[in-house]
Amino acid sequence: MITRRFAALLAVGLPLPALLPAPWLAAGGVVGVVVLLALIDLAAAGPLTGLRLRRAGDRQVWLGQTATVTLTVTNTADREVRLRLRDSWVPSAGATPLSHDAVLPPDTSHDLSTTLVPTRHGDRPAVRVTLRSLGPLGLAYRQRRRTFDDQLTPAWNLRVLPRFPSRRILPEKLSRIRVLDGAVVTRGRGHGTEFDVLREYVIGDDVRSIDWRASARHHDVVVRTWRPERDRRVLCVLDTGRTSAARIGDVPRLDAAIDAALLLSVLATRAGDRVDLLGLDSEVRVRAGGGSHHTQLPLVIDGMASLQPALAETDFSLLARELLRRDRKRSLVVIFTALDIAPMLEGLLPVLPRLAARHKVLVASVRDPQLAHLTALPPRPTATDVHTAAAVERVLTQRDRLRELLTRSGATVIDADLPDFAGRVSDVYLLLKAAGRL
Amino acid sequence: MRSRRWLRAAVPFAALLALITGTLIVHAIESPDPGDDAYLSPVSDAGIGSATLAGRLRGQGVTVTRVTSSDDALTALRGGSGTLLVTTPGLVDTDKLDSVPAGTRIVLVAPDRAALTRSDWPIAVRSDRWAPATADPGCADATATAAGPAAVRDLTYMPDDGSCYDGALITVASGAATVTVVGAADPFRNDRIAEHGNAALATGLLSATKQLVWLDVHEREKPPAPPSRPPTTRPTLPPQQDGGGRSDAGRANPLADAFPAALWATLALLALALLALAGAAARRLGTPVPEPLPSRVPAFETVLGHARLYQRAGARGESLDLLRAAATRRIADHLGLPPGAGVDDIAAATGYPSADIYQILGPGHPDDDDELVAAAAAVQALERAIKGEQP
Repeated sequence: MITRRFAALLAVGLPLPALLPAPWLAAGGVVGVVVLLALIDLAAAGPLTGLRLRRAGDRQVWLGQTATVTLTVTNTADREVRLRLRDSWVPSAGATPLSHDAVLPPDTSHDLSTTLVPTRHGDRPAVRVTLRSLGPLGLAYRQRRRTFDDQLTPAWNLRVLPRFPSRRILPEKLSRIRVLDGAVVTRGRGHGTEFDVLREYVIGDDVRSIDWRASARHHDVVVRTWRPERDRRVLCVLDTGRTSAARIGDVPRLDAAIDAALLLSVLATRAGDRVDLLGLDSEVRVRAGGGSHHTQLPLVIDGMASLQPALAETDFSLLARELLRRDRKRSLVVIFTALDIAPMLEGLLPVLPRLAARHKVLVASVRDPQLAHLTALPPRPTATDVHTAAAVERVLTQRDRLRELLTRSGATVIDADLPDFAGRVSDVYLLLKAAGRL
Repeated sequence: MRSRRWLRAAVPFAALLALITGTLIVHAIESPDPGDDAYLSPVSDAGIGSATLAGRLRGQGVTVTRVTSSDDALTALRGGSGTLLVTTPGLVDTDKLDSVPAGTRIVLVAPDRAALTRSDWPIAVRSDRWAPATADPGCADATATAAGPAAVRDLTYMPDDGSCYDGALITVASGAATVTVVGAADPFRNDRIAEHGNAALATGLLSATKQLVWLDVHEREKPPAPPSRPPTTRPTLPPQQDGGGRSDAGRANPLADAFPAALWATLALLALALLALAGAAARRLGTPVPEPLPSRVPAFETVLGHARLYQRAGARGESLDLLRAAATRRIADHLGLPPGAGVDDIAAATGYPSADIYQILGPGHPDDDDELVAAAAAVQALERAIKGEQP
């Protein structure tokens, strides 16, 4: 194919027909010379078939940070290649620059680095590397069909981890865990269930916790103390169905749920609990977790990053099946979903009693702060404002009813506005942990 | 999904097209065909024939002579002043009828533009209609006045002066003959002759002389062999359009000679350069990459939709009931009353007069938007007052 320089060269020849005696001959001559030059240029352009591509660089990045992926081009042919190359990523990967230029003598490699500033979390794949070999004059180039480029392109996927805005309240929650761990040693049975240490009896201790055998050894009355459980299980269930796609403020509902689930996972990991993740809509999208205490958190975060809202109705019977498939140990099941009455009545409510019989179930839903604004009438209300307020009240009333139904079925419901949603979820977790009800 | 959307756009147009096509087909079937042997024939008893009219004319003592070519018509008219009825002017070579004897009346039934163009009578078509309509005479012509309203207004003609029935009936003098054009065939047809003043108009037009030559042609008459002399120019008609370009085709375009060849060569080169530029820009360095975008729908969209439905339905009572119920529940909650507490409980707990509370929170539906707004504002004010909130 020809470049713009080809057209420019033709334009340079424009005055010739007017200046020379035979105008048509001159015009034909200009075209002939330029076409001949372009053909020579095309023949001299280096072959594309000898190029080999390789990628290296970041595979994971937090949203808002910058990743760099390097594309190494090797010329295995015995001719020089003047390369123009475009490394195409999906637009939300924020890849720059748009194209690279490189001159590759035979048997050399060249590194071209692409800087990525992703705008959304999830998987951001590299789609295609398009190659173009220019001739030495820059009049013509070689470019193959798309399938050729597709075959040559090395696959790469950048996993963008979700933004974690509630990171700022993490230190406060962690300090509460430390308080729970150390200072508040519960006295007597009933609170903690794990044996901690033996210590001397002081007046006021429950006499039932006196360890008589140890008292005999120590010639003093010794009581057992208990501490909150460790190695409990927390299962974060993220509903990625259609209700999670709707926007709360500026982000999808799912993003708020991911943020809260992240905070909960970090807290639970620090508190020594086991965290698992389940993302589901009409099918199970992701199952993450397991492994040791050190590896579970990265696995869970990675699993969350891959979640996207799907336009499908969520099938909560999958959750019941999934829980049955796992071991029978009691766990805290936190379901991040939306308190919309119709999907809840048909989806979660029928399976909830079975879940609640064996596990502690927490249903967490983000409330749209916009709704609270709409209930209050403006200073000079119109009929539209009144009708809007009425429609909002209707939804809120339905939500209250639903909350009642869920509570009656054995779940604890968290329905909070966006800014303190994550904090409320972890507060409930800490409360349950302190009370030893996990 | 995409095909459905396409259908939604196409169906109304398809229906409209079918309707128009159907109407055109029905109209074409229903309107009489001059090529039909029965059409306005004095020997046909069919609906579109004219045996009834011919019978009536004979009854008035008019001699009706049926001829089947314009040459025969000219022969039959040679005897003296008579009336020539041309039922199908579109098929007859009207050019030939100029040579009728002096004093002949020519009556033409609904001649179209082409038939009038072929002749040199100073008549032109002004407009035409979808179907014949009835019109009042509106002129001083004796025949028309005697006949009264008749269904002749289909084609209308120019010039306007001396015309009857809004231009549907015109009589002009052309040389020695008198030419009368009638805008529709209805007054002559067996099935329509009885309507309005049709019969009187048709017999009046045709019984002016004792001899009537009925030109009954149903196939296009062959034009005479082209004469060796050039065709006579017709002052009343514009020159034919198709003659102009053909004679110039052989000559070179004068524009080509007006500019030097150097200009054309430069222009050709410029066009090539621009084409090359377009070609260079057309090949992309990689196709655009599609992006699966997240939904843009805010979560409270359905709520707002619901509110608009309330408003459109004028559901003021329902809206106000919702607001009152919610306020009652929240107030009871605030006062520590048991769930399900009513207006009386609230009045007792707050000390406000029961009647006032009942007026604000009790049943009762507003009649218009102003009342609704006032009632809703009162509910909100009461709730704020009890809770001690600042607005």
